[in-house]
Amino acid sequence: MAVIEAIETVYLEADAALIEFTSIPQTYEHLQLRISARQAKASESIECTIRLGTGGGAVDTGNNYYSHRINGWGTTENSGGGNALAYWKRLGPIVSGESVDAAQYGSGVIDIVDYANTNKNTTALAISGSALGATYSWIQFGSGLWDNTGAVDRIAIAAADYSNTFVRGTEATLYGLNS
Amino acid sequence: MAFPAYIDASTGVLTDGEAWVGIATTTLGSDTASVTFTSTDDGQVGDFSQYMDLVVITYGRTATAVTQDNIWMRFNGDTTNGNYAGQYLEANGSAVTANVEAQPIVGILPANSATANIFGSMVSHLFDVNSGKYKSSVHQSACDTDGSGYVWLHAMTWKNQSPITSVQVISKNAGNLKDGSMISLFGVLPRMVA
Repeated sequence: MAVIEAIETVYLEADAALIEFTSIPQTYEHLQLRISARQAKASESIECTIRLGTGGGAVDTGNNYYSHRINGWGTTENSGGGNALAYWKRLGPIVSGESVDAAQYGSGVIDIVDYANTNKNTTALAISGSALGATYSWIQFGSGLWDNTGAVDRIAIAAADYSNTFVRGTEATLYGLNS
Repeated sequence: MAFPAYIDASTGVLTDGEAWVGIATTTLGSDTASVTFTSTDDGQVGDFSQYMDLVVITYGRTATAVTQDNIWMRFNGDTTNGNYAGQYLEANGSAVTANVEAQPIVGILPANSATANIFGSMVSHLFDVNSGKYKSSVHQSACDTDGSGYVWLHAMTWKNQSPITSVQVISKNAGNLKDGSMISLFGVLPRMVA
């Protein structure tokens, strides 16, 4: 088996609210998600929101997700996070919105570590950003905790707060990592 | 002849093998102005056109007469600073600073005034490099120089919709990359087989 294997690539040919990876094999040690995305919302930079699922069912919609971030936009340094939400909000990735040039797509890498272990809650970390815009050009490092020990077999990536759409041309690939 | 990673060399069948493909590594044997990786455009492993993303890993130091030196990453020979936009977040041990850039700065490495033999490191992710999008990237660099230092996060956009066909790593301040610097380029394949 390859050390790093591409599990699935999604390349949107039309706008869509959700990108979902299902039936994720349990044969890897870690997962890595690489994304290049833009959302149809009047913003220069904007976060994606992520939910996880286990046991072959739907993603968890409970307030079981925690996330923190350190970020910079323009000349502002900031950190935030802490409270339980129904999805990872501050992990990232931060991508582009429609207030910047149409060709601009933000990008990021998310690592979901030891995702198949059923004795530990799931954690993730991400670096992402979108370097364009007069005010909200953005770089971010984020963390995520899912209060669930289930093996992750589903990942749903939604546009911000489950209320927007990804623009055509958005791309996401899920990789499995072995030692 | 080296086949691309997704073609079985014995059968010619499309496969999903190693998703990360080592394209090239340059280890400098003498001080050198810059390192450039150029697509071979021949359908082999060095042909950038088959990859979704590129990853550049740098272990380096420059000859600029300062302690830490800013590093540029330029694409396709484009030397016009205004064609690049950046956003950074840096920490130097006592303060955190964010700002924007109108030049292709992607990180920071030790330079000539730092203690001898100290090199820094940098990991750069370049996304969807063959698309018609602007080329977006994120970069992490670590530059610790015995008592001082920086850690940097950078996002950078090359405001050009052409595919990336060359990647140059160079000191912003024109110092050579030092002997012993090592820069590796990887291609990251998408899922090839449905």
